[in-house]
Amino acid sequence: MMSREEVINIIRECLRDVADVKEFSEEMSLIGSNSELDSIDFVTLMVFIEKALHKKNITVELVSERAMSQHRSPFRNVRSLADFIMEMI
Amino acid sequence: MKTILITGTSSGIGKSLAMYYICKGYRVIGCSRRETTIKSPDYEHYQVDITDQKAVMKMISEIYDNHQSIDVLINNAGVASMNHSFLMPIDSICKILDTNVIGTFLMSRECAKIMMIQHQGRIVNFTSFAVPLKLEGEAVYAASKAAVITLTEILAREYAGFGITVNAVAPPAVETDMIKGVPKAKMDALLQRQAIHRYGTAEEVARVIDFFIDPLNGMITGQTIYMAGI
Repeated sequence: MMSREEVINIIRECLRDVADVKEFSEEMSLIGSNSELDSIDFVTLMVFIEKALHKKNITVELVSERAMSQHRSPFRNVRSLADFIMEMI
Repeated sequence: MKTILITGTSSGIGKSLAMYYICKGYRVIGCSRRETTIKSPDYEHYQVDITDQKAVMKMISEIYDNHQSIDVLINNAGVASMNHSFLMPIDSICKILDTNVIGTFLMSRECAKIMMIQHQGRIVNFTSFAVPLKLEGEAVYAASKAAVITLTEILAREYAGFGITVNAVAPPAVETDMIKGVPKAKMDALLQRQAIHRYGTAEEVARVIDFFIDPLNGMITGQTIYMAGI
């Protein structure tokens, strides 16, 4: 079982690979006008996280029906994404 | 050694393409619902249903883990069922749409995730002359292949920024299991609608694929080539 800290580390490393992020925090926006990521960065980030999780023998589809149907997007910031991943694994 | 992934390699054009690309020096990975009869050290087979998302994701991840690349995807797998629409069972409709549309989409998406990491990739889809010829008795099959053309054109745009091209080939009539149940008179009439009135071969189809997957042809994307002069 992966810890939340490990999930946060994966998100941090993938973000570093995808974009030149100035400051990492759990409140960092991943989508919307406050985000430092453009749409391609965001898509790439999702793929990189899926691949990183797979390396830990966890196969998940992040952009699932479940994710898309939630009232509040689980992709809005690092914290909500980490929470969502913890629910999925 | 380049890695090429071909769906539907248990028979027909897919099997011939697998043999063709083994001979050309590729590492060929094939998949189908059935077991393979291809025996080669340069061939690996996955027994997978391409409409099963989890199974597809697992297969693609395993291929990437083992070989660290997927250079080319050929979405050859397809099913057909020729019936007048009044006689078309719903199960057959679902099976055709699942394999031809959802299978092509899933395979393309999961391979593109690898190709975007590589910053390069080639995807070749299979469509059909049934679309422009509007063949009676093939309403669902032709609709599924029309969807493949649309997928090709839109995925080409979505993936272009990652160095991935997406194109489609519409083979001529080829003598495979898919048409063995079609009466000879019907096939003869169909051949007459081609500019070139004969059956094609899998190797001739491969020539078109060779063009699409050539590393120098990075400006060719979102295109469909109809063979035999449709």
